Amino acid sequence: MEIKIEKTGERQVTLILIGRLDTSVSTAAEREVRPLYDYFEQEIVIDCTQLEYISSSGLRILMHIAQQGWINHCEIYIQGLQPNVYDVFKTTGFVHLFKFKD
Amino acid sequence: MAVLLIMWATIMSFVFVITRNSTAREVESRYEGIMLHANEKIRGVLSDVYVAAINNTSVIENNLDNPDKLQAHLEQMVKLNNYMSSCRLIFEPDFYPQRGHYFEIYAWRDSDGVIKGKQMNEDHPDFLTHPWYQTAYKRDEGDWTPPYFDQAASQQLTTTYMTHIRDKNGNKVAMLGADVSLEWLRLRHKRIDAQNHERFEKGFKEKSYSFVLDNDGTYLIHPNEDLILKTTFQEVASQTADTADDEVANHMRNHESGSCKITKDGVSSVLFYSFVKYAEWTVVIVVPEAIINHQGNVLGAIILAVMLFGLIVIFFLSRALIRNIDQLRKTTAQKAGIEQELKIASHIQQSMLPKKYPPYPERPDVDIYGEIVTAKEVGGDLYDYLMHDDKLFFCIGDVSGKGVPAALMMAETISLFRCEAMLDTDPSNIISRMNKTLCDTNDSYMFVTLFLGVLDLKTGQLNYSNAGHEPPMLVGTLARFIYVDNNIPLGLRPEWEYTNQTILMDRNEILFLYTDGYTEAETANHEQFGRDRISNRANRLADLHLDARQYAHQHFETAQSFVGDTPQNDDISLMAIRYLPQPTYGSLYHRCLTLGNDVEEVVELTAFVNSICQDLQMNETATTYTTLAVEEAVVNVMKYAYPDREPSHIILEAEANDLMLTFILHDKGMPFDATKAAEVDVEHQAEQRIEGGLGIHLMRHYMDHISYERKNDENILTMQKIIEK
Repeated sequence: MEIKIEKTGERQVTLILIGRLDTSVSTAAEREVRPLYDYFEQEIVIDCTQLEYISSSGLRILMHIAQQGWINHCEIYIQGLQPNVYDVFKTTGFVHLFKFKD
Repeated sequence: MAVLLIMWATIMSFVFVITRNSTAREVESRYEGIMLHANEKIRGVLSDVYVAAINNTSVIENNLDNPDKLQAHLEQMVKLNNYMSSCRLIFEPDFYPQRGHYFEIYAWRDSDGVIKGKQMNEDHPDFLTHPWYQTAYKRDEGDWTPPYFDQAASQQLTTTYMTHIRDKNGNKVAMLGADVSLEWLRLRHKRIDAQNHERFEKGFKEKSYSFVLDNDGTYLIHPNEDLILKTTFQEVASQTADTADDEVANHMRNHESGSCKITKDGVSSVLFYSFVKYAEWTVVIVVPEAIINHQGNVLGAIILAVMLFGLIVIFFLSRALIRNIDQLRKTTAQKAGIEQELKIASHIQQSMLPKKYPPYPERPDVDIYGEIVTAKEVGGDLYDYLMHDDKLFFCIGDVSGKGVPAALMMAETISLFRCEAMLDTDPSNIISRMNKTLCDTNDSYMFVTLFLGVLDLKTGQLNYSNAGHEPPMLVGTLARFIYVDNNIPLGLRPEWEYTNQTILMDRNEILFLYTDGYTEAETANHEQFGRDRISNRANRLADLHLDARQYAHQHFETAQSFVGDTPQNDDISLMAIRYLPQPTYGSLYHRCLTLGNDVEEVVELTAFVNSICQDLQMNETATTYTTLAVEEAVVNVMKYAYPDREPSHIILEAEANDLMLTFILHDKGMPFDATKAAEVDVEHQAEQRIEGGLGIHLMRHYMDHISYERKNDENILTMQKIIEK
């Protein structure tokens, strides 16, 4: 599992998730995404192009990002979901929590 | 010994002679000192009187016209000089015609010490014609007369210093005679002899004696007073057979000083003689040799006695020492013997351990290897295994303490294990019975930590019981310590009921066992290897797919490179058991996994499910969803079944036929039926969503069938997935 946070525009920050986001790495991942909570009134793009796998522990982290984003008046977008992962989003209703970008 | 005695005797004689001679010389110098002192005294006394006489000649010469004044002056001279016994002034005939033809003034100290004086004329004896007077008169210088008996006045042996008195024209008009009585010298020599006899010569038959000779050898002072003035030393010497004394007489005449040995009346003596200047006398002391040598003999004898005593002491000491050395030699030999026996014991001990590798060549389903690297001393580490009824019985342990007692207890423990493992298949029963027997025979309060396992090679089920030993590691994709109950070591309490635990071993998994010699391997800085390092190392080795022997060896090398050159202070025992179940045709596909209730171990789970899906040739999507469902089920147990976080094992079994893959999840946590959990509303917005339930939702969604039962205090969740290829 690899997590990167990049500033990709004047009002845009991108979270890049690479690999498997399962329970064994969730504690570390939770810690690594925390800098996102400091952005206000910005666009947060979660780039899932390289995300191979996500379990409920990973979904929970995305939910925290979403909840904190709404509090901080940020727009949250998901970008580039692989089919298997998209299926998990669909199954859990997470497709309704995020806006999607191509 | 004889050589020693001869050496000793030689040294003794040498020491004796040196001591005797040097002491004799000391005694000789003592007598010499006495003699020289006498010499000085004579010289001093005569010199005093001589000086007095010389100093008074001018006064007398200036007062020749007044005989009465001269008498007073002579009285004064006698008074002022203690050793001057009397004094006289003998005038030439008719010097004072009115006082008679002969005239003499005389002053003397009478027997009461009172000074008296008188003037004499014709009626006193006629000095002037005496030969000694004539001799003195003819000489121009003053001189001492030979000693004589003063029959006229003192009746004592006397010598007189005679010197001329001249008138203003230098003509001899009178002679001044200053008399010295030699009575003091007689008394002094008597006293010296008496003192010598008293101080140095008590108990000797022969005594020393001293005497004084005139310049022609005449006896002046001698203990035998009959000799005085009557005979000479030469005459006496010539009467003896000994010629040494005759020679000495010649030396004396030549005004020499010295010493020599003489023999007189059969007695050997040393004769010391010293010439007295001015008086031209010789002072002599004769000391018997017996006296001179006596002190040296005594001292030498004392030294000999002390040395002899020392020798005897040394003799006894060295005998004791030799005895001690013998004892030491014996002890050393015994010690070497004991060490040899210890070596043999160590060898026997090692030979009790299974050595053959592979131990069961006919069994491809298990690979087992154990080894002990012993420290210097015989230790108490042990491991053993045996097989019957398709079950592998094994144990690893460590006896407290070191040395032979530990080795014996180790041997007993192994014997008990072999015996009890044949009678029962339940580890807690085996270990409890071993404990009771060890307690019965354990008088020295030693104990054994022991891990004892029974691996069913058909199912991979490992039942084990742990008596205070280090927890083994289960090595799959990850290496993790398995949980062990806290049972006390063996040999302490016979009534202790040891508990059983169970895990399942998956294929290719290694159970890695060790003793505290490994965890406590120390560097020179007393840094211990520790469980964390073991865990890290085990994880790194996990991926290498090593066989049991290679795996154990890798760990040994790790420990060795950690401690470096530091000598090993405890046995290090390692044992690895690799489970390799062989698929047989027609049998059900079966796998199993044991995890701790720690979410970190999900990695192991993922690898496990992936490998199953791969075995069953499932497609990627099916594999992902299956993995996800199983992860959710297991994580749910890990997170919520153990609210107290007590460590426990979660066991996952997998079975498959051509159509269906079935997972059976066992846990001993609190009862929970996931099949009855409420559905989550997946349509809710994020701000309204509760976190719980997502996992169960995913699990239920991706599995085709789920069922739950509670059995034997276990939650058993069964999940089924139709195999899509």
